[in-house]
Amino acid sequence: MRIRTVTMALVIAVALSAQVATGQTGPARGGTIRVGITQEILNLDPHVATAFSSFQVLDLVYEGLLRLDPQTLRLEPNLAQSWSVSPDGLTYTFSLRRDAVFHDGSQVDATDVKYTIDRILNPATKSPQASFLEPIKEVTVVNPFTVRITLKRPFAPFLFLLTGPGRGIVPVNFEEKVGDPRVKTLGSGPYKLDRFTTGEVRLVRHDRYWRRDSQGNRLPYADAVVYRVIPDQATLRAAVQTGDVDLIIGFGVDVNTTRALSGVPGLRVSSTPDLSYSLLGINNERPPLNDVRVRQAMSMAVNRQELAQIVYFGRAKPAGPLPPTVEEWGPLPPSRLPNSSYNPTRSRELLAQAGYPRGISIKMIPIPTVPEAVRIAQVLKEQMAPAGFTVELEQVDFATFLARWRASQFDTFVSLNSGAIDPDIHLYRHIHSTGATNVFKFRDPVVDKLLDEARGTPEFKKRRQLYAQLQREIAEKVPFLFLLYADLFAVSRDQLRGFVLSSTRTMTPLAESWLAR
Amino acid sequence: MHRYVGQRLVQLVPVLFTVSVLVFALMHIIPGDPAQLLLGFENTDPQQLERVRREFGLDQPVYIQYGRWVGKILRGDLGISVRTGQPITKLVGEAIPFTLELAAYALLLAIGIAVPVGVWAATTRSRLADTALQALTLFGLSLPAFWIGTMLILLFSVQLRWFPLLSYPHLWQDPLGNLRGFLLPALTLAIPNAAAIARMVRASMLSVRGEDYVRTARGKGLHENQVIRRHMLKNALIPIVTLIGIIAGYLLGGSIVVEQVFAIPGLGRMGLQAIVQRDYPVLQAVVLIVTTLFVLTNLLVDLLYSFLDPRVRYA
Repeated sequence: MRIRTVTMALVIAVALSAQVATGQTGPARGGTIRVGITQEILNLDPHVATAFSSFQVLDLVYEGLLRLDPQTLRLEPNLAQSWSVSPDGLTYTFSLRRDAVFHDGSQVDATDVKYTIDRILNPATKSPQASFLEPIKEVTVVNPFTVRITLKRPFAPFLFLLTGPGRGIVPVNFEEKVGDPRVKTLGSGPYKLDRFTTGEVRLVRHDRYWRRDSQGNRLPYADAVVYRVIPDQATLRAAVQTGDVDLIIGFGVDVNTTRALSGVPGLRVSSTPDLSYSLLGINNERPPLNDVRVRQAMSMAVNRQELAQIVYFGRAKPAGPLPPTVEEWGPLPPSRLPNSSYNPTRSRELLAQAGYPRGISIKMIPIPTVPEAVRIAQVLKEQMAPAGFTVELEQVDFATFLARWRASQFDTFVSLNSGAIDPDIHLYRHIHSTGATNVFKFRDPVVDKLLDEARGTPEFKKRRQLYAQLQREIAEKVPFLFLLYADLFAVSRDQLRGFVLSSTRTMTPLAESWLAR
Repeated sequence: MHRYVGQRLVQLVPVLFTVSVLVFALMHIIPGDPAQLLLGFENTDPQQLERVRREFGLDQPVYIQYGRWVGKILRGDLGISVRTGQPITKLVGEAIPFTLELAAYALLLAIGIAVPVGVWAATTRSRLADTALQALTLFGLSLPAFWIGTMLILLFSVQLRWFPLLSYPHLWQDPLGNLRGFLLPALTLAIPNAAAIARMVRASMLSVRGEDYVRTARGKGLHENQVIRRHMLKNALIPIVTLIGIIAGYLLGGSIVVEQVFAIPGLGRMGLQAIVQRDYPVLQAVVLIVTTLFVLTNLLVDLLYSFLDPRVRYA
C-alpha cells in the first residue's frame, strides 16, 4: 500500500516536472517585478524631470516618436511607424501608428505630437528639454496620423532628439487632464502609474499597449513594476540577495557590488559598456591652464590604463572624445590620438616650455554624487605628481559643487558626463563656444566651425569625416581630459527573465521581461 | 500644576522663534542654488533660472522670505517643496508615522534591555560580571549605527531569513508585519541607546545603595528583590528618566543613518534629502518639527519628575 502511494507520487512528480519543463519555454504573464534603485524619485513630469531616477520610471510610462533599440542602439519606429526627410534636410514627415492609445483610452494622434512639442518649447513649462528642440521651427498637423516638423536649418542629429521619455508624447491638454503631472501620469507607455509615495513607485500594466512580442502576444508580461528606493549600497545588495527586489540597477550598482555578488547562487550579473565618460574638467580661462601646452602636459600626465585598473578593476576603457560603443562614427582611442598617452617626461618638457620648469599646483574637486569620482581624483593626484603637477583635492557637497561648476569657479574637477549615440549630442554642448554646458570656457574657432558644419551635414560619410577631424582637433586643443568609459552593471535574480541592460540605461526592456515560476 | 504647564508652553514660543530664525539664516548662508538644482546638472539657461527663482520667491530679500514663511506656518501651511512641488504638510504627514513607530519600538527595546542589565550590574556580587557588562555597554555605545544595521541585515535577513527587508506596513494595517519589519531597525537604534541608559541605571542605583532607607528596608526584613524594585530603583529613576527623555527627543527627530540603511521613508531621510537637494522649505519644516517634538518631550519629562518624586511639586 505504502509502496504504491510512493510510486503514484513519483509518477505524478515526473509528470509535473515534465509539464514545468515544457512550460518554461515561453514568457510567463503576471506577477510584480520589483526594482531597487538608490536615488530618490522626485518628479514624474517627463518634460520637466531631471533626475536619472525619474527617467528610470518614466521609461515605462511615456514614449517618444522614435526609440533606440536597447541592444543595437539603432533608431527604430515607435509611436511613429515611418518617416521621410526632404532633400534639403529641413522637413521631416512622420506617419503615426494607429493602434497606440494613452492610458485614458484616447488615441495618440498628430495633434498630440504638436501639443507635446509646443509644451516643451513653451517657456512657462520650464523644460530642460527645450534647448534640445531649439532647431524646430514649426510643427504642422497634416492629417490625424501625419505630422510634419520643419527645422530652422538642417540639423543632422534631429531624429535622436525624438527618442526617450524626456520628449515623450502626451495628450492635448495634458495638464488639465492629468492634474499635477509631477505626481500623476498620462502617457502611452507599457505601464501606468498606480501609486507614488516617498521612496516607492508602483506601476501597473497598460492593458491596451500596442507593442507585441515576436509571437504576437501583447506586452508587457508582468502585471506591475515596483521601484523601491534603497539609498544604502550594502542594503541594496542585501535586498537582491534576500529576494526583496528582483533587479538592482543604476547608480550604486558598481564594480564593487558586482564583485561582491558575482557567483552568488540565484543571481545574475550583467554588464555593458557605458556611453557616459569620466572627465577631468579644466578651466580654460585660468592661468596657467589657459596655455594649451599646460593642458597637453596634463593629458600626458595621466595614465588612463592604470586608472581603469585601480578604480574600476579593469572594467573601463581609456576614453577618446567619442564612445567606443558607437563604432559607425569611427571613435578613436587615446592611443591613436595626439597628447593622449602617458608620458610624464614629455609633460615636464611642455611645462618647462610654458615657463613652469618647477611644475604647477592645481586644485581638483570631485563630484560628490559619483563615488568613483573621488577615487579617480585620488589616483590622478598620485599619477600627475611625477609629471610636475601638485594636486590639491577639495571635497564639497553636491549643491556647492553644482554652484561652482556652473560659475566656472574651479581649476579642475572630476565628474561624469552623460554620453549620447549621436556625436553632435555627445560633444556640442560641452565644447562649442556657445555650448550650454561649456563650463570649461573653451573657445576655439576651428572646433566651433567643425561642430557647426557637422551638425548641418546630413550625409553620413561626410559627417563622419568631419568628426574624425574633430577628434584630432580636440586632442590637440584639450578642452578637458576625457578619462574613461566604464562598464554599466545590473544584478538580477534568476527568476527575472528577458531583461537586457542597455548602454543607454533605458528601463524599457522591463516591458519585455517576465518572472519565471 | 496647570499654571506650570501653561508657563512652560508659553516659553516654547521664544525657543521656536529663535530656532526658526537660525534655521532660516543657516539655509541662506550655506552655498548652493536651489534653482539650479531644480533645473538639473546640464541645464544652464539663465532665463529659466530667473523664472524658477521668481516662482518660489527666491528672488525676494531674505527677511521677506522669512516673513512669508512664518505667516504661512501660523496658518498651518508648511509651504511647497521646491524640488517636488508637493505640499510639505502632506509629505510630513506621510513621513511622521514611520519615524514615530521606529522611535517607539527603539525606545521600548532600549529600556527593556537597559533597565534589567543596569540593575543587575549594580546589584551583582560578581566583580567579573559587572566589569564584563561595563565593557559590553562601552562596546555597544561605540558601534556606529550603519555598521550595526548592515550586520543585522546580513545576519538576520540575508543569512537566516528571519526578518523581511524593506517591509514597513503601518501598525494599524498589519500589526505583526509592522513588528517584524521594524524590529531590526529599532534594534539598531536601540543598541547604543540601551548601552547609555544601562550605564546610567547602574550608576544611579549604586548612588542610592548606601542610603538609609535602603538599610531600613533591608532591616525590616524585605526580600532583596523588593528592596531593589520598590526602594532603590524608584529613587534612582530621576536621572534615568532625564536621559530617556533626551534620547526620546533624538529618536523622534528620526535617525538619518538608520532610515538610510533600512530604506525607511521617515522624517530623518526627508531631512537629509532636503539638505542634499537644497530644498529649503522642506528642510526648514523638518527642523522646526523636530525641534518642537524635542522641546515637548523635555516638557513631558519635567512633568514626570513631579510624579516620581513628591518633593518636586511645582505650583
